[in-house]
Amino acid sequence: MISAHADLEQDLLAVCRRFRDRSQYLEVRVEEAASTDFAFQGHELETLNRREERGGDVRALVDGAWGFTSFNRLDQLDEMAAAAVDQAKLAGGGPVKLAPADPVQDRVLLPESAQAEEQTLAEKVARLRALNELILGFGAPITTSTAYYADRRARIWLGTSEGTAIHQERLDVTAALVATAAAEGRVQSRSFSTGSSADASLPELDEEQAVSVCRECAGLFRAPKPKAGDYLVVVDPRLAGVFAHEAIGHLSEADHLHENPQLRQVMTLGAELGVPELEIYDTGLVAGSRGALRYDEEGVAAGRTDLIKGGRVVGRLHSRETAGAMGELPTGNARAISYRYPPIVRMRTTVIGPGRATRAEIFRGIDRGLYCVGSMGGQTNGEMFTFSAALAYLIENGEPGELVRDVTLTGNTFTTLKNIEAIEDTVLIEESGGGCGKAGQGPLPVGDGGPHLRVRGVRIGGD
Amino acid sequence: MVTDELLLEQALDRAAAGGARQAEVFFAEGASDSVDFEANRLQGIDSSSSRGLGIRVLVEGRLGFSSTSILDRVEDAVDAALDTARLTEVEKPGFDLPAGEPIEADISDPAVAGIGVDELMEFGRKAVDRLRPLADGVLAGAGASRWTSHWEIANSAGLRRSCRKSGWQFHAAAQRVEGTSILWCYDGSASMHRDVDVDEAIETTAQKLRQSLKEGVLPAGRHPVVLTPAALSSLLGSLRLGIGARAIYRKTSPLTGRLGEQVLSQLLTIHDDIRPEAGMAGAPFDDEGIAAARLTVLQAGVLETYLADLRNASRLGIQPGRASRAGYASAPFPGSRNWLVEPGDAPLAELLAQAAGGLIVDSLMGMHGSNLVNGDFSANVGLGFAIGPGGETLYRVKDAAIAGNVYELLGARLQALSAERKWGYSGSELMPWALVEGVPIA
Repeated sequence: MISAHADLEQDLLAVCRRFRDRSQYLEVRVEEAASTDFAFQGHELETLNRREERGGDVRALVDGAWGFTSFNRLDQLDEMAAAAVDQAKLAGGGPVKLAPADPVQDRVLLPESAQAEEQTLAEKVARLRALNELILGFGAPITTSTAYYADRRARIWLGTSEGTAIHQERLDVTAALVATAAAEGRVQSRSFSTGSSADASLPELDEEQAVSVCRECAGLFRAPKPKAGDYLVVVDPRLAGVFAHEAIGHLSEADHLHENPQLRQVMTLGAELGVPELEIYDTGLVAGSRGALRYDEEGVAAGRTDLIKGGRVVGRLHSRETAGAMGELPTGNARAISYRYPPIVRMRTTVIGPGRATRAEIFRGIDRGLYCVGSMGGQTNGEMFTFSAALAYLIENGEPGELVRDVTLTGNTFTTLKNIEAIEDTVLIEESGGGCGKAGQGPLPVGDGGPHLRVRGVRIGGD
Repeated sequence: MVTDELLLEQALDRAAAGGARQAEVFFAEGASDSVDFEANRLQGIDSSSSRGLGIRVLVEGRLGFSSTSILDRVEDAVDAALDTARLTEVEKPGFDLPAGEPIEADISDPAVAGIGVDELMEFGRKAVDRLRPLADGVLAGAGASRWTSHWEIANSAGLRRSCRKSGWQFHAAAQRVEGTSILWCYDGSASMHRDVDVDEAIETTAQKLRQSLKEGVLPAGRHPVVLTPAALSSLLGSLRLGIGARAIYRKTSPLTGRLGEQVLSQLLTIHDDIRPEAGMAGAPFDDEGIAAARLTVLQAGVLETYLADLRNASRLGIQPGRASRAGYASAPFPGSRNWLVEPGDAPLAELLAQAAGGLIVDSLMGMHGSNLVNGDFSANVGLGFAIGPGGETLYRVKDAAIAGNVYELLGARLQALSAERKWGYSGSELMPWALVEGVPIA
């Protein structure tokens, strides 16, 4: 029986070697993970869970077709590899050709900030309890709260038939504070969330944030909804980041593109999608971001990939399969949320680059507009997007004024990219506690960010 | 499986020895095969298996939970659960794990469990062959999978219940890009029996695709809307969230304290049914071992009940029986199962004729960003069609957004439900079409 040990990747290499003649390419992964999560709801610690898991998967390519199997029993790796090969054969051939990648042998350990178990579980609970009590003690109209913390520490071993053998440690920590006001059949919430891949102590999670979500929640509870219609909008870095992720990031995922000639046309290299100042990139290099990544699930190093430069398409996100199909280079974007899933093309940290406007210039001269702050999630089908701002302020005479609630921004992605009027000169990447979902795999830790943007003609929903 | 039984007993013994007055072990294992067709071809075959267990303990009235897939280290998981129970509060008013007759159920269907990978591939190919030639630039896809599962619950009150179950799902999908216009349409369902109609799912997808080849816009303003079963299900998400016992106990639901009151249109009668015959989310007992029963949530628009697990049932003084788990690694939480909406009297054709000049809404995008528990929403119409004077479908409506409050739209504004009903994608929702008047479209 194989148990998880420090140089397990060498054992996986041996399995791959035994199946080298029966497949074009084969990879074996083993993951061992320990996670903790807890949540306060009101005064009570409603849930406190600890989880441990160990599992693996095998992905095999035979005659250009994939077979995949995942499992919890690690005592039959050869049988599992044989099963993946059989499934791939059953698929009966396919067009998959992997782009070449140099075999890598490496070990990626977590930084010290993540290594040290500085705080015991009891201390983590006590810290969050104090913040939660601060919210509950705020007073009217705040009636209840949620405070949430989760961490997952994983060790992943990868071996491939091409000789790649990597051992990686990964950490994902998230936390959220939510203040809720409920009265007269109306409910209003405001939340703050943060996350990290390197620092388990989450320094952003502090009393100031707890008080600020209460103040904003109280404001929202009394705030009116804006009138529906088309607005000149200023979005903050969090919302700009969500736009980068949802609108351009997903469109740049090459698995959507490589077999879709029409979409490939829209996203063809050199196509002018946005204003000349627009720059968007996806990177694994932002230290501490939840999207930080050294090697993806195929063992490809994850660097920075420029997607839009000078308003034009300059690149896209690849796995080895999509890079092979499009004759481009792999970018290190093949990711999986766990051993239960095969790697697919995913984002890491997606960022709108800096422009030239100062913050003051962004707001200057706006007679009537909306300043949208923070995100409550977004969705896109490629063409249309819908994002919810956490809160928004009416802008009058260049100044953010009255607070409004339940602000939903919708529009056509391509039109909106050309309607960007100004881009701030400073980029902010703030981590949040959510994640990205795609093809049944979610939430995947990702990061995003950007500068303040001024955009005309954004439709705000409502009656 | 004898070894599993032994595992469960050992875990319970260790929990008792560690000071747990009550303990419960939930063991689950499953295996699935699935095929995925995208962009007109098979992308891969996935054969996966999983197993693990979760353990919940009550130590001096405090709850703890842990889970593991490392079955040779179950004692570590028990100790972790005992550890977590040292940090939580004493449960008020507290609850007792149930006793009861042993059940060894097998609701798996050999006709489903026997669906092979080659058959799944056949379904997918059929979808691609039918959808691809319908228009230039169509990317046809399909997904088909079949799974079997087995789970056991054992608790310190002596309850021993196990179940075997099987199921499968199929969906067909088509995507089409023209310029910067992107269309997605799909249809399909899931079932514990062979009754998912693959051909119908493919034909429905084909019809949606054909109807989408012409595009247009609808003037902004208030319009009559026919919600398809899928869209009605999206809107009823507010009610589903709002009747969960957690939101009621926390008073974060607008339905708090409103039992016996008219909360939606009297046209709406909704049952939450966990029994195996009721749909894909069925089982002989819930995930805490409580025997299956049908609950009427809404009787002619009047709120009849909330849905609770043991813990929240005790807090609210109502009946339990709606505990779910998202696999072995999840502690029980309260929520709905099979969600069945009673049909109306009018044929669908009549509803459509009454909605002349309005809009059919099939899918909504961005609902999850809305203030759903409150009922307020604003979403893009993902797939919608303009309705002609005779109720016929004219063209795909592009760039439309719909907004409002669920309790208003499905309250005073709901005009009629169709006599026809349709199973949703998950195989656990059976819904009619709904005619709603005066819906704000932007």
